[in-house]
Amino acid sequence: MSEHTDIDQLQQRLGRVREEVGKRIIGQREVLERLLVCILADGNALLESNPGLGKTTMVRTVADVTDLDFSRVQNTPDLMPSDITGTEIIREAGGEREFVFERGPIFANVVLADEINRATPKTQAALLEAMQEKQVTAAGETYDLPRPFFVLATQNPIDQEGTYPLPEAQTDRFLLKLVLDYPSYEEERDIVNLYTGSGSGGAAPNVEKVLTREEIKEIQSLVREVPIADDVRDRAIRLVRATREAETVDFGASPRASMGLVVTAKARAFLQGRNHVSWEDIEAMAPPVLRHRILLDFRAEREGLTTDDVIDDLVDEV
Amino acid sequence: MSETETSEAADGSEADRSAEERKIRRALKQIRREGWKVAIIYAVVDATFATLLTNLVATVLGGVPSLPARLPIPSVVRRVIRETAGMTLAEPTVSSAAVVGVAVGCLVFAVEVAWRVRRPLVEQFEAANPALRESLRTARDAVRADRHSRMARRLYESVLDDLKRSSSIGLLDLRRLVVTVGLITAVSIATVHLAVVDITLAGLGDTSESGVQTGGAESEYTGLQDGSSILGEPENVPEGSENLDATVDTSGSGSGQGADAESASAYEDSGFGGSDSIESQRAGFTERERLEDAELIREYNLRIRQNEETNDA
Repeated sequence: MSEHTDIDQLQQRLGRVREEVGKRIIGQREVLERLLVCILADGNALLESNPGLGKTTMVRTVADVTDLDFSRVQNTPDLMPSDITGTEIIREAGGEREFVFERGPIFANVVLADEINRATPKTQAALLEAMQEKQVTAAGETYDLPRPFFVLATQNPIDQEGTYPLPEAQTDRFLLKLVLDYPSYEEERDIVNLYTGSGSGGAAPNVEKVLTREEIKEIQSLVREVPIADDVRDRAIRLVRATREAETVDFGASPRASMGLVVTAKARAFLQGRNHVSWEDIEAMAPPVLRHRILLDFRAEREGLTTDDVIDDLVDEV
Repeated sequence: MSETETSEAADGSEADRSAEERKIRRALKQIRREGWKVAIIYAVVDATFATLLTNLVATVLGGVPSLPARLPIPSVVRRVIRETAGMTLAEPTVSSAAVVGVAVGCLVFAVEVAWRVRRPLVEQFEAANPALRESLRTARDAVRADRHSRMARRLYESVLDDLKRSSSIGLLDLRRLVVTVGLITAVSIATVHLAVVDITLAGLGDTSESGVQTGGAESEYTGLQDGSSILGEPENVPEGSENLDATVDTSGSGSGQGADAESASAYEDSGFGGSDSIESQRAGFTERERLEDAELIREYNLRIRQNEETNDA
C-alpha cells in the first residue's frame, strides 16, 4: 500500500470521526472542527461557554471515537496541584511499606479541566505546566504524560465572583480559545428530541471507534509536514505582528501565536483533505488563535469592539 | 529485510523523490516557456499593427519629416540578400515610411515583451488558473526549499495531475487578439488601397513641392514613377481651325514575309504629307527566328551545292 493511500485513509477516517461525533452533538460543527484541529496540531484548547452547552459531551465523544483515555477535573478553590498531577502514597506490600506514585487525572489522553478559573493560581500553574511540558515531576521523579495529550479547559464567561482569571501569560499557552455559542432553535429542538426521545431512553447514542491513538500520532506528524507557500506563511506572520501595532490593541500576540496560527492552518488543511495550506485556513484559524492573546485598547472597548472584530479587521488589512 | 535490500529501497525512494521534483521543475519550466510564448504572441501582433499603422500614417502625410522619401538600402544588406536568397534587388532604395514603421514595430515588440515578462510567468499562469494558484505556488516554494516530506510529495503529484488538466490558453485574451488582428487587416487593406489611389496629404496647396519635376535636377530613380509627375498638370488643348483632307489606305500585312519586305521601307518613307493623301501601312518587322531559319537554310543550300559540285568534278 502506498503512502498516499495511507494518507487518504487517514483523511477519510477523520471525516468518519466528525460523522460519529455528529451522532451525539447536534450543530456546533465549527467548534468540533476546531477541537479536532487542536488535537491534530498537538495543542490544548480553552473553551469558553455557558453551562449546559454540551462541552463535556463533545470532548467525551471525541475521546470515545478516537480510542483515547478521558478524564475530567472539576476545578474548585480547594483543589490542590497534587489532586491533578498525582501524589506519592505509602503502600504496604508483603509487610513492607513503600512510596508509590499515584497518578492523577491528568494522566489521560484527553483531559477536561472544567472551570479552570475556579482553581487557585497555584493549581492552575501546575496544570498548565504539565500541559506545556507534557510531563509531571513529583518527589524528584519525572513522569511523561501519555501521548497524544490534549487538555480542554473550560471557563464560564459569567459569574466571575470568587474566580481566579487566568493571566495572559497562562492563556498564551493554549493553542486555541473556542467560544461555544447557544444552538439555533432547530438544533436545540433536535437535541431535545435526541436525548429525550423514547428510542434513546435519555442515553447518548452509541458511537464507533474509528481512529486509534497511533493513527492520531501519525496524523500529528503528517500535519507538521503539510507544505505552506512562503507568501501565505509571511502573511500569517504579518497578521500576528499587526496585532502589536494596531491602535485598537493594547497588548499584541506573541511569536507563539505565529507558530500556532501556521500549525493550526496546516491541521485544518489536512482535516479538509488538502495537501497544502491556503489563506482560507489562516483566516479561519486567526480568531481562535489570537482572541485570547490580545488585549483591546480601552477606546476600542468603549466603542463596543470585540477581539474578533479587531482580528477580522486585521485579516482584511494584511 | 537485509541491509542491501534496505539500501536499495532507500535508493529507490530517493530516486522517486528526485523524479517528482524533476517533474515539478520541468512543469514550472514549461509554464515559464508558455508565458514567454504568450508574451511574444502579443508582442508580434501589436508590433505588426504598429508597423502597418505607422507606415500608413507616414504615407498619407507624404513621408516622414526630415527624412527623404526613399532611403538607400545599405550595400551590406543587398549583398546578404543576394548571397543568401540569390536575389538581386531591382530597386536599391526603400520607402522611409516603411523603415520608420519597422523601427516603431521593433520598439513596440521589445517594450511589450519586457512589460509582459516583468511579472513572474508562473504567477501569471496561476492568475489564469485560479484553481491551481495556491497549490502550484506552494509546490513551487516546496521545490525551491527542497522539501521531500510525504505531504510535499503528495502535493507534487496532485499539482502534476492538476497541470495535466489545466491550459495556458487562459493567458491569452482571445477577444483582444481578434480585435488586433481585425485592425491589422483593416490597416493592411487601407495601405494597399492607398498604394493604388496614391492619396497624399503632403504639400496640400503648395505646388512647388508637389513632386512635379520641372527639368534640371533629375532623380536617379529609374523605376515606375507617378504619371502626372512626368506629364505635368493636365490642361485644355485649344481646338484647331484648319481643315485637312486625309485619305487612309489599308495595305500591308506586317507579317514580315518576303512579299512584304518592302513594307518596312515603305513605312519609314511614308508620313504625314500635308495635303497629300496619307498611305496607311502596318509597321513592318522581321521575326528574329525566321531570320535565323533563313540563315540556316541558306547555309544548308551552300553546303548542298558544294557537295554537288564536288560530285560533278
